[in-house]
Amino acid sequence: MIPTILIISIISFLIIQAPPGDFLTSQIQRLYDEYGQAAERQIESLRTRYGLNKPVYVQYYLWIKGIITKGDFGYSFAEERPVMHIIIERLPYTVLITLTTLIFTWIVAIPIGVYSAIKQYTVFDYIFTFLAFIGRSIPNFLLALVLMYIFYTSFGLSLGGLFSQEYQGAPWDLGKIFDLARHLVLPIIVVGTAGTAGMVRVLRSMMLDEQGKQYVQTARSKGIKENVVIWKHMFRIAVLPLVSTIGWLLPRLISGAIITSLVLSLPTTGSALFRSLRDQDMYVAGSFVLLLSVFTVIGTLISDIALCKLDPRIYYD
Amino acid sequence: MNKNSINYLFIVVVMTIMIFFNLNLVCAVDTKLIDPDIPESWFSAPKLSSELNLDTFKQSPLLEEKVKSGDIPSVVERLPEDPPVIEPYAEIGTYGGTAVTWDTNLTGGFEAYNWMRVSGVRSTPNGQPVPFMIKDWEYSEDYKIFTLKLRKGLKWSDGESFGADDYMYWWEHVAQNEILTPVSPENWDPSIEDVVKINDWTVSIHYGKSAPNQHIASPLHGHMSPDAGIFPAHFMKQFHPDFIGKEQAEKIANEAGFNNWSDYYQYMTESHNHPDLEHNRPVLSPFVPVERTVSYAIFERNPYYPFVDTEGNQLPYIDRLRINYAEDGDMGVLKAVTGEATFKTWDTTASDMPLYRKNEEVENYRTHVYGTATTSCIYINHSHPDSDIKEIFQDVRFRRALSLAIDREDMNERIYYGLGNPRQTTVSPSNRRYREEFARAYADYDPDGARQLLDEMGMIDVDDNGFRERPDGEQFNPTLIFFDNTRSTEMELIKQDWADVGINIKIELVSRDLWLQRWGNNRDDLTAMGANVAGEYFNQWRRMYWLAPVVIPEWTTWPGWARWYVTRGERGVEPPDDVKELTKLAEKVVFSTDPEESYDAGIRLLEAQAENLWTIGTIGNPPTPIIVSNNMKNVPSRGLLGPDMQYWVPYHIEQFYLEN
Repeated sequence: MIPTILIISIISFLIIQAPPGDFLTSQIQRLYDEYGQAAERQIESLRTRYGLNKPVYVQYYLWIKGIITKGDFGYSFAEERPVMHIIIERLPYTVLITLTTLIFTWIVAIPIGVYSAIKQYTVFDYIFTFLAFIGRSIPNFLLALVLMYIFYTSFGLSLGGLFSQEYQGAPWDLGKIFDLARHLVLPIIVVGTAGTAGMVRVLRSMMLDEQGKQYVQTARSKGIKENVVIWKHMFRIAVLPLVSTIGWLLPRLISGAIITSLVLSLPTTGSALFRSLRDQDMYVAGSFVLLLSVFTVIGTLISDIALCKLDPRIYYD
Repeated sequence: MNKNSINYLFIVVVMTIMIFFNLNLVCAVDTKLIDPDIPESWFSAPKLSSELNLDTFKQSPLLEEKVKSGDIPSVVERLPEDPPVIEPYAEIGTYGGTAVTWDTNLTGGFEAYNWMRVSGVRSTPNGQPVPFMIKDWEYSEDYKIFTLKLRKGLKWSDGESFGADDYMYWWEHVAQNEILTPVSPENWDPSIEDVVKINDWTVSIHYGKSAPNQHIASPLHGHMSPDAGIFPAHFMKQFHPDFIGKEQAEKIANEAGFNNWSDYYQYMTESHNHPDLEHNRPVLSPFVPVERTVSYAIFERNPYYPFVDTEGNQLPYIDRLRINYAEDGDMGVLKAVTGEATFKTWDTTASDMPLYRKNEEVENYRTHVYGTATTSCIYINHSHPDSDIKEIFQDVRFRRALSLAIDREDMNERIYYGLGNPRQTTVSPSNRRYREEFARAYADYDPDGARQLLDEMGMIDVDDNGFRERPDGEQFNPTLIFFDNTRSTEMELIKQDWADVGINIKIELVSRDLWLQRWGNNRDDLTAMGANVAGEYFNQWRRMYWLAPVVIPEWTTWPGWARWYVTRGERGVEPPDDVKELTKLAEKVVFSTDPEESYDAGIRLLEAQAENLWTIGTIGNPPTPIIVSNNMKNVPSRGLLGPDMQYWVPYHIEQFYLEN
């Protein structure tokens, strides 16, 4: 696991450095406006200060060393503060949005998927299949824009962000929690829909597979209640593919939400990553890619363990 | 009459009406770029209170509280001895309120810049320099000694005086310090030989070279200059080893997480970009940052801001400024369009004007259309590495043909709803050196004329594919690379126009970094840029970039030649002699001490541009919409915005007020 993470960090750092120029070249216009004649001098002194004139491997080594020994993820040139601050600010909201979306996805997808299979070829099945495909094919950002427009014109609601202006700096109270919940509705719908669709289809086809199996017939003929047959026996097998991909769901929700975060103005790691890549703010970009890969690896581990527990046929030696 | 002739009559009548209408639209090009209701006094030095017999001053109720509780001294004690006066745009304002806006960068972004930007000298809406924080200036006869007269009693936002001592601190402890200033002022251009304190409020700067236009440009840039060096001495001393000892300086730097004391020092000098609320670096701006979280920043009025209005009320009128964080530029504009911002200036686009107008009534705001102080243009690489292509590009007939082939009126209608000024690359009409013939040079739509010129050059379509080949018979497919995606439509229209006369170009939109590498290293054929010059005293060296190959190679139409000049012949491509003449003229404009000589040299440069079309201009002063909530008053309705005019500074943002 550790070697994987290390190799990923090296590759991502190199890729981030690959485009010509560095953070300062992306700021040239602003620096000229601000410092006029002194701009060239300012750029040189900034370059030295930020260590941008050192070779790439030295920069990488110093960065990794900082992370391992001090937990120092480097410095953000764009925001002029340590990367750690940015991570701490954005991670909680990212996790919140991701988790609530995950829960929403599962709560919605599982019943629909299961009943789509049970009541195959009924109106229920057709409607939800249709919705699933629509949800899967509409790009997230388009859905976000359309829903924002509808919310605004029909309900006159303030758009975007996680809080209304009054609650932004305020201490946590019931009103603020309620405001947060209200603003979360849109992101959850947008980000969740695509994931839901996939899940519904997988679950449906797995359940249909199971329906034809021997043990199901046996159970029914034993007189076991239909509900028990479905949920205690069939579902347990059908859900296996979903569990094995939990690991990838996490990073997908985080990074898949980049465009949505930009459109809806959510303070997540996704939008910070996007901006840092565009501005060549390399420590921010490198740190976030590193975090994403760590999450992926851990997530895969979790799903491996969960799979182990759920399916007695799988074992590790 | 029979049916046919009625039809003909009908058509004739309709067409006459249409032509009449269109003619009107075409002739009614708005060249009035500046709001005529702007007070005359904004075009000259601000009067002093003594000149207007003002001796009682009033303040915001917010500050009255603080005076009562003893936190700050009385308003008379806080203002300088003879406070400068600003005439409000429309009426005397009322105190109070919080202005709200959105930006992708809370404190260092452009919205914050609008409100916080101060400097020694201010640009008028015409681009002339007038005193701002500095009271006056004077030149010695040889234009080498530049004496600054400061405002007596002017104070930083923490109550300490701003005066000659701040300049002396800079000269003695920053300019001479090799670590803080690696390139010493003697090696600057123009060089600074000495800074002498005459008295507490007067300081003179001794330059090594006379360059009056350049010298005046220095105090423009924030931090009072020269060259971004003037800071609150009393505050910066606490980070400087000359005052606290090297050991202590290193220690506090390490504690704050910096590797050495100079990094920490530099960080504190720039804290206007990222307010360090722990240390509260004093500023001269009308607002002071007081709070900052991840999603918003709050600025509160500066009790020591020196300006008052014509009735003695201390400015600014507005008590607080709140900037909210938007993840994306468009989101910020969206918030403004849905009525959640008081004043939004950046990230708006001309093509979205119908959207802005549509919501005006519902969300209670108005849209002002300002112009950008630039001319959009196309660059042709004069120093192209391929000699065959270079020969074509350097043929003036080619450039004239390309210019004549562009239908600017149509472009103006389509992209800017007719709000721009179609013209050749030249200065803005508000500039003293503007001449109508410069703007009209080869700017008419004459595709036949273009075809004729190209035929003359020998660029014929040999293989009959609809596109002309080079004179030597080879295919001719130049690439136009650009990075500003808001100009995509313009590029498409140009490609079409040029295809009509037989020139086939390929358009490539790339990221800005990539563009900088490719174009800056003289590797490409064509690109799209803007030529910024509005005011003439602000003809700083670097604004010459589109008139002569003398600065910033990456931003010019002749990167190879400019690099040759900048590196004094070491790198780049040597320009032909007639182009070297241009560089001599540019030197005259900036460095000549004779205003007439400087003016004439400028005219000759502009003539050269109109003759030779170094760049091909398309639309001048493209419109930029500004969204202003209806409860904010004293906002001029039209003006020019540009970096060399300090964007909003000429429009006196400190006298905007909120009406409840």
